[in-house]
Amino acid sequence: MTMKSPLTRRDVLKVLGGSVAGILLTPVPWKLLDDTAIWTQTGPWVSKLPRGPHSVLPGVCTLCPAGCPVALDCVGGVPFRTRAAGESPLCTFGWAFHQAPYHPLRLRSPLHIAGGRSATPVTAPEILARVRELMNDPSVKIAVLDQRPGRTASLFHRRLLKAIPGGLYVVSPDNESFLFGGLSQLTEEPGAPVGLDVSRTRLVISLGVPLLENQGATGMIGRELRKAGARVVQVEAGSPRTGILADECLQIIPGSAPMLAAGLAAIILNDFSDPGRLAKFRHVVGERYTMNIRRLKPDDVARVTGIPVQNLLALAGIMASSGPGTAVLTGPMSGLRTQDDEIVAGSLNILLDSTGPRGCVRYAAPVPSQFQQRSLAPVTDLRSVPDGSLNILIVDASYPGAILGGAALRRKLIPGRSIMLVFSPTLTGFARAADYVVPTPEPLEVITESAEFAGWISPHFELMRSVLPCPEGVVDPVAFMGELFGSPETSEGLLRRRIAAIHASGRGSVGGHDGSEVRVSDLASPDDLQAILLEGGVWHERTASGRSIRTFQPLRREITVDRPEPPEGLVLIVGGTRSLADLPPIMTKLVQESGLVDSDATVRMAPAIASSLGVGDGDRVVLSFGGGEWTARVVRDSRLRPGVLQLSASPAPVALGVDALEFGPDLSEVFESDGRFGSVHHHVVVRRG
Amino acid sequence: MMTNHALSALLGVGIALAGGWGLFSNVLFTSHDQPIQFSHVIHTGDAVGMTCEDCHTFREDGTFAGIPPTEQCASCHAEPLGTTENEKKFVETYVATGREVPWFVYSRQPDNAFFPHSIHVRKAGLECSVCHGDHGTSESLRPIELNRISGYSRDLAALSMDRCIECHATNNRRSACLDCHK
Repeated sequence: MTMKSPLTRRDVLKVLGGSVAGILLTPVPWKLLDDTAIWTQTGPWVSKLPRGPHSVLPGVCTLCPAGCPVALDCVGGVPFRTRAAGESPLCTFGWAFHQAPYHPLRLRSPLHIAGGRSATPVTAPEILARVRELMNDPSVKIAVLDQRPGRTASLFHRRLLKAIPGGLYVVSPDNESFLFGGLSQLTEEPGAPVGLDVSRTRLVISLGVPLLENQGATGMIGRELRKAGARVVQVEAGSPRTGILADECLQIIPGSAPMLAAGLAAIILNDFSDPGRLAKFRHVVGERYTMNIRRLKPDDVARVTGIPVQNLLALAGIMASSGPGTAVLTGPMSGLRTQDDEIVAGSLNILLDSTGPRGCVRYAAPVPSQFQQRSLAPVTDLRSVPDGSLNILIVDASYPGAILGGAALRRKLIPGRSIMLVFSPTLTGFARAADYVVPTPEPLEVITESAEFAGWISPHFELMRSVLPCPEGVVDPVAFMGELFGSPETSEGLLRRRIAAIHASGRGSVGGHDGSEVRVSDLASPDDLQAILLEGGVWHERTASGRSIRTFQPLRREITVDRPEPPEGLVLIVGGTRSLADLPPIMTKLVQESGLVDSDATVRMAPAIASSLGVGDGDRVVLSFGGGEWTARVVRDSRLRPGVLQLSASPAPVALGVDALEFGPDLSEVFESDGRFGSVHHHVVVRRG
Repeated sequence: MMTNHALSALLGVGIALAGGWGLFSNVLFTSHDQPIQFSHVIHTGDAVGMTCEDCHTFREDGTFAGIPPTEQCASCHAEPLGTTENEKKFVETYVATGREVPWFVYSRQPDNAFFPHSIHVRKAGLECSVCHGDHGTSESLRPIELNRISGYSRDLAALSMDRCIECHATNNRRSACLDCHK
């Protein structure tokens, strides 16, 4: 006989069911939901400010060479906000200055990247051994591409490279601060920094230089030009953006900038030039080029550039009457793709005698340094480095800088017997195309400097102190290079000696955030100078206006100017932006939503073109030309010339959880261009994506 | 007459209600004693006569300094002034070594909330007790209860966003999200 339990299975289920129903009448599920939601915002993976006193730290933003004065609001010594401390407003990079150390793609260990796809951790000594193995070959060709020329570390790289045969110090043509790239190549010291003496400048012809963006190094020059009352003529092939704020904004047909420069030279040569200037110009650029451009007819130039003849004549007249007070500046968006194009534009400064004793274009006065000029490798333009010529390419991208396509760099390597090594704090930009990546500190984790930049003749030097601990695993690029080349050094040691050199020179003065000004010669020791610099002080030598450029090297090759026919059909100009990938995610979001900068793959077109294609804002289209296709989002822009499309493409913005190596190809890989922004493509076909 | 099945279901409901309303909060929160005991009333009472702002000061820039650092306490308590064990422990463990006391803060706000004391105390003239109750006259520090999941103090229930909004509405002050959530 079996006993029947008074509690059946059904009873148990009823109790459970009742409990489930009853629990909904209690705070349990709702409180758990609430607390769990809070936990997701306060978990250990979320950066938190320490508690503590509020303080304000004066300093400079070292993300670009402008060195804008900033005030960092800190709690417990940790910065949580960056504010502008001077008249210079902060750019989107500047606002994110304090966020840089928290970049989600921050590197904590050196990586070996196989085929651009899989990354495996390695050690710095392993990378050193691998590079040394190649360096043992006496015929090895090694180059360092410096993303931020003008730093003390840049001088160190140049000294190391000078000491080895086949060593090249290379800079990118996309660097915004090379305003006189073509002219600099003609000087007796090719690549020497050439700058603008604003006080002597009456007229600036800006070929695509973002002078009026009011941010960064070029924005600083633009502000000074405004203060000095100089006239600015902005020449743009794409959407002019802030160019419309210039005294005059000329929109030219894409690809016609060299013809515009040559055409202006022709008018000045034929109608305004005096014999002395003509002789000097002819001596530098050659008899044949001079003869060729003198034959250019204003009608032909007008047809190619899209600028009416009377406007061309008027502009040339103003340039001639302003004479040595006229400066012709070129930038990455100028549409001058080759070095010869830049020379065509840069030589206008010689023709106008802007480089002479009364001229506004001069050699930039250098900041005193511990290095002798003759001990430094010369500066080489990346475009001068033949494809397939390098065994070792080291990219110092430890500071954010201009971004070319990674493929454009890899083409410089000898296939199979080469290494591309990148110093970078994050797995972004060039680091994605590297064989080896060495993680470097972010600003605020070490003492950083605001580099000199070509374009500005009065020397200045600023430091930003370290306020955060340097994470384990990051490597000082100077120490790495020093060990590789057998010349031990550290970034901090270099900067200390630079400060000592400035102090020993007794030149200039150092101004504090509070408006105080102390002459260097009145400071007892380099430590005193360093202390003021670390408090946000700026060393400068306002009275130094640089040397005039008296001697030029005659060109050894013949330069020509194409006479392209006005394009038929749609023309595309690739107008990239600085790498959004360098920005922390919160700023990339801000940038995208504010529309301040075109983000990944945006194609601008005049409303009439959009209507004829049957597309509107936000539609996706596929652009086909040359050998590839690119998908982009449409933005209608009434400021563009009819028939012109402008494609902005940069490495994809950072997204949390995205594999850094899965960002997709960059534009240069698709179109096999040299990766330079400002390139022009014809016969573009647009279809809905 | 109610069936056994209905009784079972009701029993389940009852258990859930009892557990959910009675036990849950005890399980959800953990209790922590303060590192040392402290009597507010001794300091704010007639014998000493200090005010809240004598210790919980405002900095020159107007920001609220919160709990006073050990250095501030040491200006009076470099040596024990009384005979209590707690004061002796405080002087030996923290004043003599220069360490900060790891106090638990009952009213610590979430990181995403920005509460400016200066505006409320100095401009609006609110008494500290409006938000902090009789904390300033307490004889000892009660244990703090911290939520196991969110990490927030249980006392924040009395300092919730609803209360902020209610007070702002009563006093005809605006309540925009970004006023507090920076």
